[in-house]
Amino acid sequence: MYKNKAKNTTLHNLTLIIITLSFGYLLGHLIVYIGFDQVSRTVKIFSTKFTSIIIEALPFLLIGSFISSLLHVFVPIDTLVKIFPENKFTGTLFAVVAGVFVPLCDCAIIPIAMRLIKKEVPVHIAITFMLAAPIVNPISIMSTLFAFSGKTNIAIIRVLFGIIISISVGFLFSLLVKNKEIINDKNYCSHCTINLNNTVWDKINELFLHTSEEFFNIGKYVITGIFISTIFQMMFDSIGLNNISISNNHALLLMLLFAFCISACSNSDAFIARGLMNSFPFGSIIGFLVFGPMLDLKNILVLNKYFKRHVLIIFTITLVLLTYTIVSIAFF
Amino acid sequence: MKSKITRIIILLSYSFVNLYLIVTKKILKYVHPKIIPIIVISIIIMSIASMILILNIKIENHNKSKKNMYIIFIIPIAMILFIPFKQSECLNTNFTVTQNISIDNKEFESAGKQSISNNDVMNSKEIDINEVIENNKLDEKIKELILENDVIVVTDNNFVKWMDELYENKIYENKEIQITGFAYKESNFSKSEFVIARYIMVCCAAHMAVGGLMCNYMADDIQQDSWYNISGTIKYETYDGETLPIIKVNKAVETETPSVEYVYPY
Repeated sequence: MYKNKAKNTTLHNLTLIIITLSFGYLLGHLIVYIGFDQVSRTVKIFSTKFTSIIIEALPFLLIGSFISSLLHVFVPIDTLVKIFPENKFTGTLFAVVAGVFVPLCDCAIIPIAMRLIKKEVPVHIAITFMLAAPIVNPISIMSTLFAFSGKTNIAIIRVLFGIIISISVGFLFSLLVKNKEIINDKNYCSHCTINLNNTVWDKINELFLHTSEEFFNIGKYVITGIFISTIFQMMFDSIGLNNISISNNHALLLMLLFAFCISACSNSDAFIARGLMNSFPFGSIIGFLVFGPMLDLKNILVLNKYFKRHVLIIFTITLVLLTYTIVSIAFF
Repeated sequence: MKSKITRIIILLSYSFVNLYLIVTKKILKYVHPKIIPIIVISIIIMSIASMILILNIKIENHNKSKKNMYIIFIIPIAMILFIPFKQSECLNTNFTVTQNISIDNKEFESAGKQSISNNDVMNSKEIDINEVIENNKLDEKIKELILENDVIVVTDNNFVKWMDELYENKIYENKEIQITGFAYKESNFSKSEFVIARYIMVCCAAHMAVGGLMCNYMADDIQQDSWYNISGTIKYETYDGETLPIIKVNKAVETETPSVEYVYPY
């Protein structure tokens, strides 16, 4: 108990340090361009970028927490397990297909996937669902089609690789960790013993209380993540990625890093990728398109809330290695 | 108790700020219109949740979350309310657009939906079936892009489609065109050159793309970032080794900045 408290304060201090550093960066700008115009412009641009992502992301996050709470309050623990086929292969395919019907961005899908794990759905299904859903959902496919207008092959490759990578990560991850040891119970909602015989009013009460609980718990990580990634975005903008020329493998690594840092949502990253198409090899662009929705800065902050530390490390390493190998084998 | 009150205040202020943005239509500056229904749903959930929090306010809260975490939620609200969204300020800089605009005009064009990037994509893995599908798609697209009296009229609604079409199908040589947008000049442009451009809203104001056409106009009174109605004829010219559509401008009339400065690809 005491140890956990100490851990929390370090995490909290870390967050504070990161925020201070971010403000430091803005202040740095203030010193670099002496002159009020430049500074106020930078602040305004930052604020515009930051708030517009917030306005877009928080509703999705809220709906994600709402669906997660719906599952929590209204669905008995063993029902969900029965829905998914027992066979491992059909189970994962089912998870991918389920992703098509959940048109949510990556940060909203996490609470739902974590709820699935809590409801004892097998790990490989929940993880495959979490990784595949942001890529295979119709909105993201549509926006990819629009971004690379007429070039259906990019959308197809994106979906295909998204499915391959999410299934393989799901399987490998389920071999490495057991269902029970994934979720960090200490951080996970303290009033979770639900009596399913409650009256409807009690349930509705519980539903909304739980929604707001989850929203506030994850929201702080999402907002912090967006804050930091906006800073990264402005840094990348001023560097100008198009000026860089590097080898294929390095380009893929750089694109994965770029996807991680800027945390664009899966509906808009295709348009960013299009702008980079000229300067980067095709494979690295696919890497960007596939990896971005699966893992980025704000996701990892949210996952850190749910996962135990070592589980998070295993998850990240599996995902990065698999994405890197699969994409580089296919394209280089 | 105290943290519940803070939560209620935050939830309510989020719903009010979002409602305010929607009612005043300022929301269109921030996000794509397709997101508005989702924001409305979230406002409803937030208001119900805050009402239920008010009803349960006396019940002991057994979660011991730190109080100062709420500051994180207040920062964005404060930014929306107190730091102005100065559109022109932001649009003038290279920061707001995706990486491509800031470098040189070739890449600037690439942001504007064009053929070069697509040709690069067509590598050996391409199969013929894809081309067939594409051709069918193009046919559909052309049906939407009807010429009025043989003049290409680019409006807010068909801007992105026309940009694709002009860059991809080079069959519009000597056609007349009418287009509205803001003027954009790079330092390496000659005096007669500028780009007539629009910002393309994809998702939210943080990830803007730029699309536009290179213009050639013999008058030098074109102001950077002012809005113009341009009419002229399309020529395909080689620019930095690529064949691009270029407008030979006959007439450029300065206009007011439109109320909706962005175009939406879908």
